[in-house]
Amino acid sequence: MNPNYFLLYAHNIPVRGKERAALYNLQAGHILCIPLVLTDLIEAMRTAPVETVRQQFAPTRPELFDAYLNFLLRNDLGFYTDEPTLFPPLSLQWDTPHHIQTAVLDLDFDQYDPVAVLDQLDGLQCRHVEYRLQTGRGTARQLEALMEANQGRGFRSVSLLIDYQTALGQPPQWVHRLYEACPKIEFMLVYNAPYAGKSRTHPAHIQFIQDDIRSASYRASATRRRHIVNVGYFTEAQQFNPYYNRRVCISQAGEIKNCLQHRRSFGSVLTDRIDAVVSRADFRELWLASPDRVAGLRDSELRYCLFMPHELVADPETGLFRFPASSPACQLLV
Amino acid sequence: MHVLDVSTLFEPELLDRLPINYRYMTRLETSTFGEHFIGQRFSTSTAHYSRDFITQGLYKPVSDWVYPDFLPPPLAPLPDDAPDI
Repeated sequence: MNPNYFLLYAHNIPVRGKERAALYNLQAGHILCIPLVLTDLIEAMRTAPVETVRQQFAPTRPELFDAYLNFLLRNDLGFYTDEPTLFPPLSLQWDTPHHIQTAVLDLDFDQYDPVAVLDQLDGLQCRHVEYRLQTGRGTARQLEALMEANQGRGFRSVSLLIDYQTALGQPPQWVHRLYEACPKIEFMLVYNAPYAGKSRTHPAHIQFIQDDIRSASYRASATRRRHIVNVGYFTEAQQFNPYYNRRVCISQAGEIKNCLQHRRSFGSVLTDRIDAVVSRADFRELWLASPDRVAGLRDSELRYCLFMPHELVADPETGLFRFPASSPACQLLV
Repeated sequence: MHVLDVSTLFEPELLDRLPINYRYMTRLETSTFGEHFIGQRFSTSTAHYSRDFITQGLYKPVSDWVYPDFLPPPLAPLPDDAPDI
């Protein structure tokens, strides 16, 4: 005879939407769409024996209840136990010691001193930095000096998006020498290259494309649906907007923004300190735009895994946020 | 961690003198054994007083430019006439 209770494994978390539900497998990194009634069963079985729940939900159709249970067992989503209290749910708390987690620097080596910005980002315990070099701007020497300036800092990883023209005049191996000289570089993408493909020496970390990613290709990619299913993203999405949270972007002109796509800026690295700007409430407003506070998105069962790097507008009357009508995000929510 | 099979390293003569567990040893693919840090890179961090500061990506895209979107699938190795990089 089976033990009395049935529980999901802690990494399998059901999420209710307006019309259906989804089961997030945070360990395997995938999602199973399920009917809403199954989430009711799962919730009930957390505290009541299986037999009690069967009588409650399907007194006249026990085979229907068993079919749902067999579905959960067949997909290895749960287990039987006599001691449900020994298996607490996964903690959904999210926190990080990094005042800023990600920074994006749009560089042309002309408008502002990137090393001075790095000093400030390091003081904020920034974890990841992305450098976007303007097309045709910056020399190989300047880039080497910038990567040298990353050494010894607290950044976990750095990624580079550089124009092939920056490498012109250098030996062909310059790109992978730069990668090997700076161990903080996790990924390099060289665009406007005469060829496309992965590097032979570091195929997962250095890649070349022939397109100019600063042009329309980004707009095309903006409408693609992306799902990120892991513990970090899920728990962060409970309270914060995973895209905007603890992010700062520095535009080519040195403006401090939530996102380089936005027009609104909160200051300039030429006149303001980054730590003063990012601690302001208006700068942090979008950090708190969690999926549960975004109109349209809050009804989706996939709200805790959808990657939505789109502009948000605050609605002071409702306290919610919404995507502008012209935003490509509206297509993703259909 | 990728399990290859369950086997043993030892000769039958030695196995006779060893506990039975040694006949059933889990063999793992080395490159998937995280604690060996194969393929990992390490830098330095002054603030952390570390000379073995592991380079590690984030659990989400760093920016709105998600790199796989710019890479035509499948991305093949460089053509033969490309420089040796």
